[in-house]
Amino acid sequence: MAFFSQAWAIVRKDLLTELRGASTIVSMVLMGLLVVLVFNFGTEPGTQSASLARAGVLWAAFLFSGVIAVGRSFASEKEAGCLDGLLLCPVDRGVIYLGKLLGNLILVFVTGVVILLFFTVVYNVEMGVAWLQLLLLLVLASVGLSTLGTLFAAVAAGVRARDALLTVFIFPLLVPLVIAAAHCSTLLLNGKSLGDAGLWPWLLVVYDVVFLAVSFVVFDFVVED
Amino acid sequence: MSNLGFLTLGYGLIWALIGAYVWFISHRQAALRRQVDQLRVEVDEAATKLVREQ
Amino acid sequence: MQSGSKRRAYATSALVIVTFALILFALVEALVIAPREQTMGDIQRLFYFHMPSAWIALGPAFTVVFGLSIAYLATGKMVYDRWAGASAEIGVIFTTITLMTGPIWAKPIWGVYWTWEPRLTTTLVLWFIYVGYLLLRSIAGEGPRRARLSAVYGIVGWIDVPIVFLSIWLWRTVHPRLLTGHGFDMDSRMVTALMISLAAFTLLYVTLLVLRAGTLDIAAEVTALQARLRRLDRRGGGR
Repeated sequence: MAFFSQAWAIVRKDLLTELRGASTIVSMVLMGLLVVLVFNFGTEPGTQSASLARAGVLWAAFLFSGVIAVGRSFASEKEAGCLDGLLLCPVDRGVIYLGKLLGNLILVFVTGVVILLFFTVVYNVEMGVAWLQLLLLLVLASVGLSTLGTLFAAVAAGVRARDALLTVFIFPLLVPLVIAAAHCSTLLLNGKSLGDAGLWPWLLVVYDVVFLAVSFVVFDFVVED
Repeated sequence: MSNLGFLTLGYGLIWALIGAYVWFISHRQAALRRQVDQLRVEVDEAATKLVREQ
Repeated sequence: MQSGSKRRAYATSALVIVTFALILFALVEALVIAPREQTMGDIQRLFYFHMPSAWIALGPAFTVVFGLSIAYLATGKMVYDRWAGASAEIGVIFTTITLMTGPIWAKPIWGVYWTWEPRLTTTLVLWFIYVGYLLLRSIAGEGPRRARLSAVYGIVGWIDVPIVFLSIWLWRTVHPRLLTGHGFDMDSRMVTALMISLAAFTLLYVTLLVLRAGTLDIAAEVTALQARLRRLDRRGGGR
């Protein structure tokens, strides 16, 4: 289908550009690891709250690093004037959105995996944990973050103080995602499975689906010019 | 603080905020009205001038 | 002035007077006529304005923003954008009032300023979302571009709020011991006072919306007049 191959062309272009410089993913990973590090110093070791706080750290790291990726999605284009070039192509706006979304999704997910690995080492997570389910959780969270993130990156693209603004816009909207993800990850990291998580994984799925749909519909209006 | 103190604080805050906003609106309104009137005069002048020149 | 705008001015003045009267009535009801709550004392009277503020914030204010955002994207008429902006401003004010009065009346009664219960927490998230909306509007310049971007944000934000509430509510049922209840029994006179305050605040919202959107409409007229002036000047070769 032309739609998907066009979107994939955008993904390839962005990823190749990224691989050449690698600046985005490196800063993402470093940011994520640093957040885990800094938060660790903020919590008293061995207290009751350590367990709850830990899930929070994981997702805070994930969010902060993810916003970096997403913030850059339209930046290079705006600077090189490529966005207008992209818009001149007779493609559905949805193709641009999908392409940027997939690119971000890959960056966010990969960074998330690295952060998770670091986290398991640093917090001595047991080996018997449901890794596949953790990865699935990470995928769901990455989709949620990338969906709204890509949309708002386009909203904030032409605007001053873009990165700070993006964080301000996205974080409140991501609250349900953080709650659901933190809940599921606490369970998983303690050796349980997603089946024990009740409605929470479904909340994540619903969240992803709803905002994916809304973003697709609404993206056209954002890049109109 | 006694309970009544809290109550006064609460009500005071509510009406202070609302009052400030109302003041802000009316201030803006007055300034804008003045601007509109001024602009209307200027537009009329410029339009008549144009007509006279033609 | 044309008769249409004269009528509008009279209607607005009438609205303001009626609102003022209703608020006065509500104040009297809340502070004097409603009975004193046995366990909580007079501080409970704050509730008569805390709850309607929360209602305005969580209900009409941002729903109107949502509706007008869709209307703008569908039609492109700037008037919808202006009214959406006004409604969001007023919504933020009422949300702020809710968030400030909540701790003020919670502390003397329950001993804590804050609990992470669903309605309160959702209100906090709501505050962040719509302050973000206003921030976007202040930074995005003016005109159709800002209108489009705000409309997108207004739509996404509003859809998110019920999901936020749901997730916090689910979270709460899992961690009940961290949270306290917020209820108390109300007798019929209290209910009356509450209803009157609710009506007063709803009317207040409408009045503020009309007033604020009115100034924005005038501002738009200013811009239009300035543009016209520039065009006339250019044709006339300057003054």
